[in-house]
Amino acid sequence: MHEPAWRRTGKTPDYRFTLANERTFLAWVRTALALLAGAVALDQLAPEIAPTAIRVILCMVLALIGAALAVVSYRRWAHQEQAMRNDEELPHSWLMLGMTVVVAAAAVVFAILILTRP
Amino acid sequence: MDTPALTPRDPGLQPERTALAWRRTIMSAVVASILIWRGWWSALAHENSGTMVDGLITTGHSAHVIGLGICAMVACLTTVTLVVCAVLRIRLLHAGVADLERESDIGPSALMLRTGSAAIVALAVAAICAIALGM
Repeated sequence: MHEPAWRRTGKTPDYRFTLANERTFLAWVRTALALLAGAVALDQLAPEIAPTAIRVILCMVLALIGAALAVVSYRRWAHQEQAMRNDEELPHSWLMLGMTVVVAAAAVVFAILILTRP
Repeated sequence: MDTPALTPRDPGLQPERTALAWRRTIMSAVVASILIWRGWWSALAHENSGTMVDGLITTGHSAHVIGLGICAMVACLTTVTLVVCAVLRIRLLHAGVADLERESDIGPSALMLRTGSAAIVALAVAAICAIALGM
C-alpha cells in the first residue's frame, strides 16, 4: 500500500506546520482514547450510577463517539495536510463545536445522574 | 562538514514535542486497554470463586468470560499496533532532528496515521463488546 495521491501534489509544507498538524491529530486521538477509557471505567467502576440499561447505553454512546472521533481526526489531518500542500485556506471543521456539545452534554447527563442517585 | 553554528537546533523543539505527543498517546491507549483487561480479570475471578463455593466441577469457562477474553486480546493487539507506530515514528523524528530544514519528508506517512485510527476503532469495538458482555 502506498501513500494517497494528494501526497504528491503541491509542495511540502514547512516541517513546523506538518508536525503541528500531526500533534493536533494525536491530541484528538487522545480525546478519543479518553472517551473509550471513560466509557469502560464508568461501566466497571460506577455500576450504581444508573439502571443497567441506561448505564450500558450511555457507555456505548461514549465509546461510539470515541470511534467516530478517531476516524474524523484522520480525515481532518488529511484535509489540513492537503490544504497546506496547495497553499489553500485551512478547511473549516465542525469538530470543535461538535466535541464541545458532546462533552457539555455528557457533563450535564452525569451531573443529573449523580444528583438523582438514590 | 557541518558545524553546530550552521545547523542550529530547532528552537521550537518540534520533533521532541511531537515524539512526546506520541508517548502520551501510547499511555492513553494503555490505560484504555488495561480497563478492558480488568473487566475480563474480574469476570474470571468471579466465576472461579463461584465454582469454589458451589463445589461444582466445570468443564470450561462460560461464553461471556471467553467473550471478555477475546475483547481483552483485541485491546492488547490494538495497543501493540499503536506502540509499534509510535516507536517507528519517534525513531524517525529523532533521526530527523539533525537537519530539519533540509529534510523534505519528516511528516508522518498517511498509512501510519490511518493504521493508528483503525487501531482505535478496533479498540472501541472491543470496548463496546466488553460493555455489552459485562451486563
